[in-house]
Amino acid sequence: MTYLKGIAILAMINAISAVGLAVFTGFTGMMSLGHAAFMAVGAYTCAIATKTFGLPFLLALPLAGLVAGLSSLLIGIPTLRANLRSDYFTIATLGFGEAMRVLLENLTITNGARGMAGLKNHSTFGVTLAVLVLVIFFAKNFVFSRYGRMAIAIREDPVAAELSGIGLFPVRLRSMFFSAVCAGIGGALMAHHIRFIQPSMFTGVQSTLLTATVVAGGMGSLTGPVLAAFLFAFVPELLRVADMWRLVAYGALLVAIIVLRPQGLMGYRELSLRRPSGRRRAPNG
Amino acid sequence: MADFLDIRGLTKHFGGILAVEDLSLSVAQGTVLGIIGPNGAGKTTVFNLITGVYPPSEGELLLEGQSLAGLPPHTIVQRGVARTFQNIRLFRNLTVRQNIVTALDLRQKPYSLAQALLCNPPFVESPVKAGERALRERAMTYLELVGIEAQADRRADNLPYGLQRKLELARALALEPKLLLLDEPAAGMNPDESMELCALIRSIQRQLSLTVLVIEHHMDLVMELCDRLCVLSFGKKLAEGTPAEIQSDPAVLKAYLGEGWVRA
Repeated sequence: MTYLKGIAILAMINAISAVGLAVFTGFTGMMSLGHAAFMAVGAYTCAIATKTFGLPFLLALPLAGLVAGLSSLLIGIPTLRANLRSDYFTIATLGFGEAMRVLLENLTITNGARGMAGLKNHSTFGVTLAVLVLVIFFAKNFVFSRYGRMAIAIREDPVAAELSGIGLFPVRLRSMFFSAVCAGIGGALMAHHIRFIQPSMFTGVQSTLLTATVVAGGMGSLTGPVLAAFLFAFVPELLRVADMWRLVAYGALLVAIIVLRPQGLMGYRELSLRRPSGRRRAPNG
Repeated sequence: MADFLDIRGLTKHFGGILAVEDLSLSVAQGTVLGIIGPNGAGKTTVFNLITGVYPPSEGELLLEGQSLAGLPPHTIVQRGVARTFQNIRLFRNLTVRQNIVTALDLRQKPYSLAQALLCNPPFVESPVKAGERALRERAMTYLELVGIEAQADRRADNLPYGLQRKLELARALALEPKLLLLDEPAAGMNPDESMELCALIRSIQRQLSLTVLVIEHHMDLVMELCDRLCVLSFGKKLAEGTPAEIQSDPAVLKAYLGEGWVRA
């Protein structure tokens, strides 16, 4: 039971970060390969706040989100203002992710490459679930508001969006900030779940996992990435008997999703009790 | 005060290529100006310069006496310029109605970001839900204006081509512009459809007292719709005048048909 709970907590942590990234990648149309850096900023902020400064966890958690959000401005303002084309932007985020890891390895306050051990276990099942629900609530409110609509318009056609009066830079930066806050909170929860952090936990592999989660879940869905986060957490565990082959199975799962459902598990839809919006009939035929 | 739209000495070069050279043009409020010319004459470039897609290399663009040159596109849209595109650019995965709502948002800002994030619990009435409802209702008036209200809930890219053009027009109108730029609105339409579109544009233009610039190759539509015409060739203005004047202008006939042509 503790084992299952542990995996579920990890799945929810990845889901929290993935929901944030879904807003940026799925709804704003910007591909990032550096979001592990924001998880790292959140994880270290929270760890330093609780361990070094003795702040209560419930204060340190939002602080971690805020600092991660602010750190996204460092990379977001220069790249998004320059209106980098999507692939160049992705490369910039890749560089940012590596730079952040190297920075963490060389600072004294982060204890360098040895990392920070002996963190308290605050990320219980209940806390993580509550944070996941809150993050989905905010993401849903954001995406299904005029602010989300501006982001979607940019994803659909940046030129048409700009000529509908939507400024590309502020909208993209807003989405990036939102996704970084979510990633930071995810990282903070991860720090207090594993109770040990080191820079090598937040490499390109983690960034790629997040992006793969969003792509597999559906580039225009919030519930899709949550579903994918659970799938990616549980499937490798189920295959533990297969030893190293489970990593192959993991890769095969991703390839299968891309081939069989290029639009992702949920596509542009949401898991909902109502009828799927795509099949709704027009009132007058 | 000068005219409604005043273009003075507008020049754009891409490297060594002069796309638009020393173009001066003025348009009176409430009139329709047609821009015609052979392919590659720089017509769309003029639109891109007016809407800020490119900054002009030289020259001045004045809308009601205020300079537009060098402003970013979304600011120019706020000043009251809207356009459609030669190759349709819709928000393809959104419904027809949401395409309009996206544009309406420019003038109607029903709620703030904080309200959107914090004051919108599920199943409960909120300023966000009320605002969205108002936008959706308002969107219907623009769909009715171009006659596609029955398609409101269809996905934009599922519409037939002609209706996609109308949706793009409705989206431009939803920005509540003073100046509307139409880039080949009748491209790919047959003569009947293009004349129907011509009547539609005319009636909307009168109804909203818009100033319209239109690029078009269908000459019957151009002659019917436009109060004045401007002919471009190789980035330069070849002639300007009423449709009747242009039709008999020797320089225009030469550019279009070559020398030695005799009017039948």
